[in-house]
Amino acid sequence: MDHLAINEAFRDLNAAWMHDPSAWAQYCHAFNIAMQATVEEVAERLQQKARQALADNKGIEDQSIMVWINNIAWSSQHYHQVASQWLTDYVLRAPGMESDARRRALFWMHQILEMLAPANFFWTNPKAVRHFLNSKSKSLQQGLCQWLKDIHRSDRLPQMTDPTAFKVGENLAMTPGQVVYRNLLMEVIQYAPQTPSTWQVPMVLIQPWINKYYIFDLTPQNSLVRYLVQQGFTVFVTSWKNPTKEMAHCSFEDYMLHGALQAIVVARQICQIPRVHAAGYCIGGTLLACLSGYLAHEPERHPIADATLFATLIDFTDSGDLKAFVNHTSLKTVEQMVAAEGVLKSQHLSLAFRMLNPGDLIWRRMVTNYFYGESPARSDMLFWNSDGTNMAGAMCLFYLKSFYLENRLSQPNQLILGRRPIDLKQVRLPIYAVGALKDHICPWPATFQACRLTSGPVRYALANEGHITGIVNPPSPWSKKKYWAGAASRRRNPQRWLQDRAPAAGSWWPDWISWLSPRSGRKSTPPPMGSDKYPPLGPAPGIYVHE
Amino acid sequence: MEMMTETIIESIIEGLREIFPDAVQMEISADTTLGQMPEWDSMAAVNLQTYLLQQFDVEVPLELLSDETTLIEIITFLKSPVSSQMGAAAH
Repeated sequence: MDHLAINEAFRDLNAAWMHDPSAWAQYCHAFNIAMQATVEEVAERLQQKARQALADNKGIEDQSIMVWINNIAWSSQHYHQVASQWLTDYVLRAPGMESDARRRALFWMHQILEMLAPANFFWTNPKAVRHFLNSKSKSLQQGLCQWLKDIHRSDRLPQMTDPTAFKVGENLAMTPGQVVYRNLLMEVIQYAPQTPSTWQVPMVLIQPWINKYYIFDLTPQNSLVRYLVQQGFTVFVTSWKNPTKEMAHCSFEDYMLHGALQAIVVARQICQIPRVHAAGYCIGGTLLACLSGYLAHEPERHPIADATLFATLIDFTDSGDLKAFVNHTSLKTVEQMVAAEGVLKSQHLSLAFRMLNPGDLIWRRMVTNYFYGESPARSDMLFWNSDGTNMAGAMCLFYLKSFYLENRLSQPNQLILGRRPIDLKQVRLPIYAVGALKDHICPWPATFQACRLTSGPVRYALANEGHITGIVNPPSPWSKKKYWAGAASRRRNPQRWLQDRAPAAGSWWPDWISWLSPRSGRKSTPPPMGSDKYPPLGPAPGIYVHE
Repeated sequence: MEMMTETIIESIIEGLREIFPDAVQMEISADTTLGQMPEWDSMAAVNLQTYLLQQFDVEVPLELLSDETTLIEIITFLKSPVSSQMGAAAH
């Protein structure tokens, strides 16, 4: 069965070309010519190399093997590059293809081309052969051991990071705090103040529940929580429970009402303040946008002072490469998985996310771990990336269908949550939205639509990074990063907005603090850790993060 | 022991060719920026950071590995006094 509609994607591609057979024949002919030219170029270059080698008097036995391997690798890479370009164009130029179908075909073509890269095969990867010879075969032996370990893990993919290098609570998620609330869905962590006085208005961070909460509290130098606390904010974070089969019924609405809203209620009560800053990341931002629409029905009691949306889609029209996975066929597959297991298992999500960048996240790992026999990288972000969670069945199906397939949030009153129709035009909160220029998951022009769809003042910041590094973007004296920021209320055209801006050097975090501070009341004695109603239940990082 | 700039740059170029097999035909020099590498992105930055850690025992900050960073800037960091502290911090 075609679970992910891969065959369908290529069927659509071929059908498009068959509408114009003469263009197809012409394009194939162009490939023959390009290949012939490449054959001649490769032959000429190899002859040059051979002449050079003779002139340099290189001919020792081991070296001659490597010369041969290098030549094979070089030629293969050359052919692969020409064929890749042609096949990519084959998809891009297919006449009259509908844009979603073209995107799907391009996505799957890219998967194949990445898989077939010569560096992924032993004899066309000179470093693999050299390591094998130099280590007297130990590199492959070590690689084999790593492979045997990997196939016994649930995702069966090459390990991305050294699992022993980090331990949550020991060298990650170390900012001191207390769990002050726990229900079946989440824990709320309150962080201890690190300044003599704190801003009156606290910050509530709504985490994406596709991975663990500590994306905002990685190593101290990469911790957004630590940065905010040191800027004088009282910070609360949701740490979601990793769903089990028993949580199959948990809905998106539950996440909104018993998750995000409850976290805000807790923060308000502890800080004794009517409104809080709220920030959501990715699906957490989508949830926050929905909650803002839900609460817009009673504006006089609105508990959110302003909202920050990190790499957040609220208009799913152009929702990135993930859309290649989401269609009616794959939704049926997910329905079957969820019916059997109650949840969408983390390994399926992990594979999907790794396929968004297969070169870096799958094939380079395979080569490094198995061919070179090297240990996986030591990276806090990759460690977090590998620490996935399941998705509760009801929530997952609703999210894929209502957002990715039907794009209901962007249409007034088409999404009903908590018995209230959601109309983002009724959201008049100040919004700080952040996009990332190289984000494949939430493309920045799509995240920019928050400016058009809501009615309050919007400031937009665009980081020159990807989905994770664009957000986990700490200021640093070594930073070569840049960002663009400015007012963007009701702007419709992201490219034109960008053209009007000059880039600023460094991290956008200080810009966000400058935006938050005037909205944060005055500075006063920090609130207590917890309250009578919400007493501390144990130290951060809590217990759900370990599940 | 202080390494020669040329040795360092050769090692970085070797690493870049491993991380970016598509760069087979590309001329890479000290002035090449990371953004010129095909499909340079944040994950590639993590890969390069790992490679530099393995080769030089120094954890180069990810903030430095941006698309406008030249190889000579990486070398400057690797040869700076602060890099020895970053090496110690990596352990």
